[in-house]
Amino acid sequence: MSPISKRKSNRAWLLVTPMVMVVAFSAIVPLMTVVNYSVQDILGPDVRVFVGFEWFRKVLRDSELHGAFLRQLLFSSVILAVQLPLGIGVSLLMPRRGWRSSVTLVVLALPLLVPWNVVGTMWQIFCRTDIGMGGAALHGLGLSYNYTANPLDAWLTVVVMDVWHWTPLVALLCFSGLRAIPDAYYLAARIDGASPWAVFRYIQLPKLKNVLVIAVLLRFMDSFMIYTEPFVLTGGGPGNSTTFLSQSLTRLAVGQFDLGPAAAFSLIYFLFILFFCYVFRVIMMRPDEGQ
Amino acid sequence: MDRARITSLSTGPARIAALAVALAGALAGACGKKDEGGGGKQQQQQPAQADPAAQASREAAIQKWLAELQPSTLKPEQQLAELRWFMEAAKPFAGMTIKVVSETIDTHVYESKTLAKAFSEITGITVIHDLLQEGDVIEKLQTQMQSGENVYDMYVNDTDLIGTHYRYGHAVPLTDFMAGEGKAVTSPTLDIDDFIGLSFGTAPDKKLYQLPDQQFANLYWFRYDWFSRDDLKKRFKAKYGYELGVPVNWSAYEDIADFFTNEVKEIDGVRVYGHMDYGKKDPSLGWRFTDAWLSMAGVGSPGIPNGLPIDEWGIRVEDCRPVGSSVSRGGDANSPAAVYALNKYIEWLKKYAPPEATGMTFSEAGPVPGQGKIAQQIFWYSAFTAALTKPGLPVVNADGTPKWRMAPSPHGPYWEEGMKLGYQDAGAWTMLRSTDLKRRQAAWLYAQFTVSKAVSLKKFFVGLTPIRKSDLDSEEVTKAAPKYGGLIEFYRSPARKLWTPTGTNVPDYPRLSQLWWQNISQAVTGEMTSQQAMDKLAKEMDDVMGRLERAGMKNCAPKLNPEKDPAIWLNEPGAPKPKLDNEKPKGQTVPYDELIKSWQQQKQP
Repeated sequence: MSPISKRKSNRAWLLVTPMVMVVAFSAIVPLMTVVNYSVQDILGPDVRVFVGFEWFRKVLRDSELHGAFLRQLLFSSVILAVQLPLGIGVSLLMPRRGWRSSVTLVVLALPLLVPWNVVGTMWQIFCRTDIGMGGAALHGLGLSYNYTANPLDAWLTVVVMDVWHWTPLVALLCFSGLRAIPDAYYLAARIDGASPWAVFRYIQLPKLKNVLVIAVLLRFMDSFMIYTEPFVLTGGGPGNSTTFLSQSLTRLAVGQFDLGPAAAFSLIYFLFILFFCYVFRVIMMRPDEGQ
Repeated sequence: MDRARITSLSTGPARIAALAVALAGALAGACGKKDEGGGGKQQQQQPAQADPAAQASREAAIQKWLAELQPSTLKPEQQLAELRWFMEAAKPFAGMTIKVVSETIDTHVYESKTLAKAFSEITGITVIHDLLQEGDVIEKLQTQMQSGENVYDMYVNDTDLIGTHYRYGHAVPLTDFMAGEGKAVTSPTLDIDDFIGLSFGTAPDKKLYQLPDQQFANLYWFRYDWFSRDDLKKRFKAKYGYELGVPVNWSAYEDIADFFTNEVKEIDGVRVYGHMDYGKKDPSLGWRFTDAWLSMAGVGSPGIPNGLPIDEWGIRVEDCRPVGSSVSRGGDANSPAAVYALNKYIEWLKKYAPPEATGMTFSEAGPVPGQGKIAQQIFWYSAFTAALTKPGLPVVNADGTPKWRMAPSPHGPYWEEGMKLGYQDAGAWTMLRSTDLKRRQAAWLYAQFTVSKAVSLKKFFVGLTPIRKSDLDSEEVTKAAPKYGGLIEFYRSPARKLWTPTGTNVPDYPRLSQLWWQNISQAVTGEMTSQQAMDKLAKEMDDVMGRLERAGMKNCAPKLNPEKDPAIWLNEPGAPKPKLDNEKPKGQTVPYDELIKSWQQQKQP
């Protein structure tokens, strides 16, 4: 059979023009404004000095920003290392059908419904050693815990808070993935006498691959941009121990109104995100083995 | 002080910050033509025509609000005449809506909820008086200054920014305004000389830029009832060799802190502490330092209201031009005195304050002394007076008098006679040039209303933030003085002149103040030593001043000194001073009752 021949038409461009306009106004114009800012020292509406790449050099050499970047990577890695297995585990334990399944889904979704700044405030109070249930309980057990003064305690508290907040998302995604596996697979496994581990390893886990990629993508991106919860809980402290990239950027752009350095920082941050998006895209677009 | 900030930032982490940059750019870039009205639809409203019904309604409003605005230092007919003047002067602006903003303290809550309503009913000008946290007020102000677009028609902005307003030239000098384009809307009974904090809002050009609306000081706070107990006095003297009383120096403060936290430990079954402070990494941590903490230790030069040539931030000026904050440029921000000040803050916070204090912000720590477990606080904002006099609190007697008192703050070993002794600031009405003249005039009427004699005494009793001598001298205030724990005595004494705000040496308060809390928070955890933190802070302040020098400012732009060996500056007379061999001289205290008597005997300034 000969391939269907298509006539070329430029009318398609007309159809995409509105979208191009929308993207131009919502993304390209603001981005170019940031680029414009990144090469200036802006001290007022009439006080601007062209500085070339001075802010880029400064940002790239700033040891505090290096620290914030490394902390950010470490945080995202820890979050993924904890939330993925935990989310899969929770989803495997969830009832598949009936009212118990509905109740579990609702309960599990509750942390996802809490606004981010409320999450921070809840944990701030919960972990206080004088009035917080969690902090006082740890003290009662004889543990020396103070997330406001001890960097390790602060880190653990931020991680546990994030795990509480976002593991349900991973669990819900995995649960949907598990529900999508046809019963025939389980039937075949039972006939073959497969162990629960073998069922998980050779049926469930491979079938969860696509939802897991989405879970990793979502959790990595969100954790890489985390701001509100640690801002409320620790303010980035003690010291710089829980200061992540977005907090440094916000401080520079909004707190200090240092628009030039903040613009350079934004662009570098944006390029990082773009790079990671590209990596994930490549992984997601890779065909499944054996297909 | 950042809950409002949290709300505004919680919609998305880095995206918001980047968006802010982009948005500001879009505004600054795209809006070549300024919206002179600055108020959109509001601007298009026409002034209400003379309307007998409206006039009658405003007259009725005056009669109604007279009852609310009691007591007053004015006679009833004077008060009535002053309110009528506002009604008449506002006629060209009737029907307009103006927007003003201030921080959230009792005084401004009263203005926002009550005085704004009264003003609207009396004048026909609708006032939206927003209340934000202090940091957010500065953010809004900064946004208007950066973009040139009207955000608010007037701001109640701390006079800490006087150096910034003067140098950038964005603020309108009120002295000029009152004599020129605002003459017709300036009350003949404003009585500007009656204000106690005028010097705070006056720039080096001797012009007033900021009119005080509320004023507060940072004083020493202590439990008078505990300090008067014979058993505790005996135990203290036995251990430290001198009387328990109001500490005159930091050595005595430290001893008293140690005494209550580690010796007394419990009073009436309650765990007590000899010190209270806050240490969360937050912009308010910066205020803890920029609000004169360094000068209390002895940083800076003698001079009132601010040290010259070096102020309490450690910034040296020459002919009004900042020349540096590092010792290597002749500044004082990383001198031995500054490092000592930071060391003591950290040491006391960790050794003597409740453990949870390290995670608190300014506003979270403020009410803690009212819970009844704190014996003293070296750095206590009198803006919390009203909150600590509420009946039923553990620190208030059954008859409504406080169990606590306020007194002059002790000073550190580097401090010398003639230097400021603490922090006092005025939240002050400030208008920017980027606001349309008509809106400024209408807002100026409201600003004057909130500080007018017809209103100010009543406002004082609500918020306890005095601004007028006539209020402080009034019989009503004399009668009420015993309830306020020394506040009135302080304000009536000449001592109050030693408490002043951030001075005119600071060329860009919003940018420079951000550097403090970030560096200090690292010293608190030990990531850096105090010396390293202050070195870094001083360098970063010099960097910002270098940028200001490069870009230029309207008045008195910085001109940095070249760097030289710090030893050269340290060996010259005056600040920066070299390290003392003994930073802990013997503790010295004074009985509170004697101190008050000496204040009462001195003539009012």
